[in-house]
Amino acid sequence: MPGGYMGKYCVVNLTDGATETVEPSDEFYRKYLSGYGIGAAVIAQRQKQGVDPLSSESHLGFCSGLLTGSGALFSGRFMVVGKSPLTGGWGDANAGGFFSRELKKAGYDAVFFTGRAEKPVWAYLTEKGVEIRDASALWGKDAIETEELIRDKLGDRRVQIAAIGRAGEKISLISGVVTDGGRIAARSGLGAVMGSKGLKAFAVRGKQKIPVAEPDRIKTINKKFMKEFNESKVADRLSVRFMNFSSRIISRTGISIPAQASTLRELYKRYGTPGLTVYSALTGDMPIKNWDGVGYLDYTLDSAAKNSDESVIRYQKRKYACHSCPLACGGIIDIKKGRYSGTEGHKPEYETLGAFGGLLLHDDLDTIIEINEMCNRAGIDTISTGTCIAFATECFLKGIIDEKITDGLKLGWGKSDEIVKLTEMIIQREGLGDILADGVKRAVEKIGPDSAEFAMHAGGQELPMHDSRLDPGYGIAYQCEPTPGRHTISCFLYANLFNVEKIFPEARRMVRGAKGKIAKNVRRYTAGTFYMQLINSGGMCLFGALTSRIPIVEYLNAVTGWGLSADDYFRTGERILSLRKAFNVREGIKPEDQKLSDRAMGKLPLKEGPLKNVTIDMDALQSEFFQTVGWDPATGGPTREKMKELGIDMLT
Amino acid sequence: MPDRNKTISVTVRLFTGLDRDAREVDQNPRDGITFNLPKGTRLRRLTKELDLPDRYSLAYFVNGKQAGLLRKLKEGDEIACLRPSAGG
Repeated sequence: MPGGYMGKYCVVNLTDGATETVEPSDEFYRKYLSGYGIGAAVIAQRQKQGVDPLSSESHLGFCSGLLTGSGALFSGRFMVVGKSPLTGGWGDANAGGFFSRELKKAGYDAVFFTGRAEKPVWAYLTEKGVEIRDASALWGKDAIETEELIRDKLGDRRVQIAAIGRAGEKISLISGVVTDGGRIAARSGLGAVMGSKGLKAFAVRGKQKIPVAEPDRIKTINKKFMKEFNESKVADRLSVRFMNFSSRIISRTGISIPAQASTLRELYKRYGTPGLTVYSALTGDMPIKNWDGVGYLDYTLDSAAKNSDESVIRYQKRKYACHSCPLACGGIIDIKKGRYSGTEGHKPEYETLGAFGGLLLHDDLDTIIEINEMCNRAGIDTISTGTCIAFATECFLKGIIDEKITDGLKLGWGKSDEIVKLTEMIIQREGLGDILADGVKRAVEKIGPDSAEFAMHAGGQELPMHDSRLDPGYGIAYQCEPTPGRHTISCFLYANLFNVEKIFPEARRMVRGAKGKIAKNVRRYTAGTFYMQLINSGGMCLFGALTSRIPIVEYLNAVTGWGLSADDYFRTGERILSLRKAFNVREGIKPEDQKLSDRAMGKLPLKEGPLKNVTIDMDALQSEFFQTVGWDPATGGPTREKMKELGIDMLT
Repeated sequence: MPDRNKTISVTVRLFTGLDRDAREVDQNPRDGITFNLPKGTRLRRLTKELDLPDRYSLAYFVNGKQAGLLRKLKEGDEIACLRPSAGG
């Protein structure tokens, strides 16, 4: 058997406990790699069209990466996959930590759950197979308590556990799956799918060796890579030098943020993502006041500084690195205030600092740390929760909802106590929290159309803390990708940092063949998203790809022994992307269903700040993107011909 | 007491670890460092005085707006110096 994959996945029916193990051919792995590649291929074939994601017929998959555990750096991520109850289309979410490697060591590339348990259960996977156990004593516990209780029960500290918290149990459509004491695969609402199946936790433990075709080659690649990784390149800094002298931030058509891989690397090493807060607030990258405000003017430098770099790092007790990661951007911090005071937790990420910071004009870091821990334990997405609270706050201030609906809460910008209380209400599904627990799109359906303007989402998924008016590439990602409202795919900046044209000759040809700056940027974006399919299916980390030129092709060939060309893999990236989008088409999701909120396009442009008078033409960007990937503008997915060409016509 | 006709007072805030790397720093970057400079001083000179590492590759904001190193500073300006970054 070639290396990289374990050569089997299993499907567990929680209704009757039946398990089916499948051993796909090498061809299957060559076509879809692993991660959400095989996740999408298996679910597209096994799950019927139109199945309700919260019904017993739906499938929920846990997939490791093709490169995970092979010795390849940055390869510690796993993916949760399924039909999203939040968007109605393809759903996936990933997280780092140590779960992915353990899943493979148990002998499986992926495990899919279908059916519905009569009573709450947890599943335990080892080399012997999957065992279903009673979770009555775990139901109602938070995700971190659940991890500890399972480890104690098994008497094994090395067992890795993915669990839902209170939010997943209560089928909140913005809930996720938690591992490693507070890392969360948060997006797409897949925690609700897990909760609907009565599956409280999935524990994995194994001792199998992960096969690698050329282990010595991996060592050589790593050695060369680490030498470059620890250097700061002069050429890397030139663009920033130019930007400083020209003092321009080019939006609409150009590269909006003069970031450089080596600087980003240093910042991530030193601070993790909190190193970005001030810069994001000043450049216009961070949405302020529910996307209607301006950094510096509305969210002062003082406020941003309270939630950035040095201010956050003061709480850090020790650094945290996921499996095989040389960056170590994570951190374990001391919690000093609120219900978890005196305990340890994960350092809040930039997204959380933005969603509970600038988005709400809120700057109390102790409160944000408390909320971060509340959300991690409850297993709920901090981006979506912050966005829901910003939505409710604006509705309240504009008189669309009143104190009867808020249960007496006087919502307002920057009010810590009210933000904490409403977060708790969302987790517990109490009062207004019950309305918000299913995301802003559904909240508009309950509150009324007047509130639609304040609901920041695309296709039902709340928007991340990166403004599409600054980098319109995010606009394409938010509106056109299989998982709308997602920032971890591609944008104009990412595509540059990825160095796609240097990795794939086909990407170079694609970009060179474009006429005009917009077309060039969109094509570079497209190459970036093909590349990210490889990164995600390989179990690799976006931050590795942003901060270095990951030798992805070399890794894939050394691990698998396939000997494929860079362009062969580029094509694989295109196939996986198209398969995921074809799933949406099959489920009846149309391009207009994934439309970006008007504010995020600047339909009524801001009057001040770096995004002053910026409106992005999403129709033109979408059209250019669909043309580049060969997708039908009417369906928003690959044409029949394209699917046949890519070998994914089982979905037609 | 500096002569207000000949000098200006500006506040500098260093982020992304620049406070650790610069020469002037026993102060909390959140509070900022106050400098009295001759009128007409450009940002370039201030960054040189601060001895910022790799100063040509940093991002500068004066009163919330991105500024080039040739920017002439004015009384009361608030200057933020950062390593440019994105993503996350």
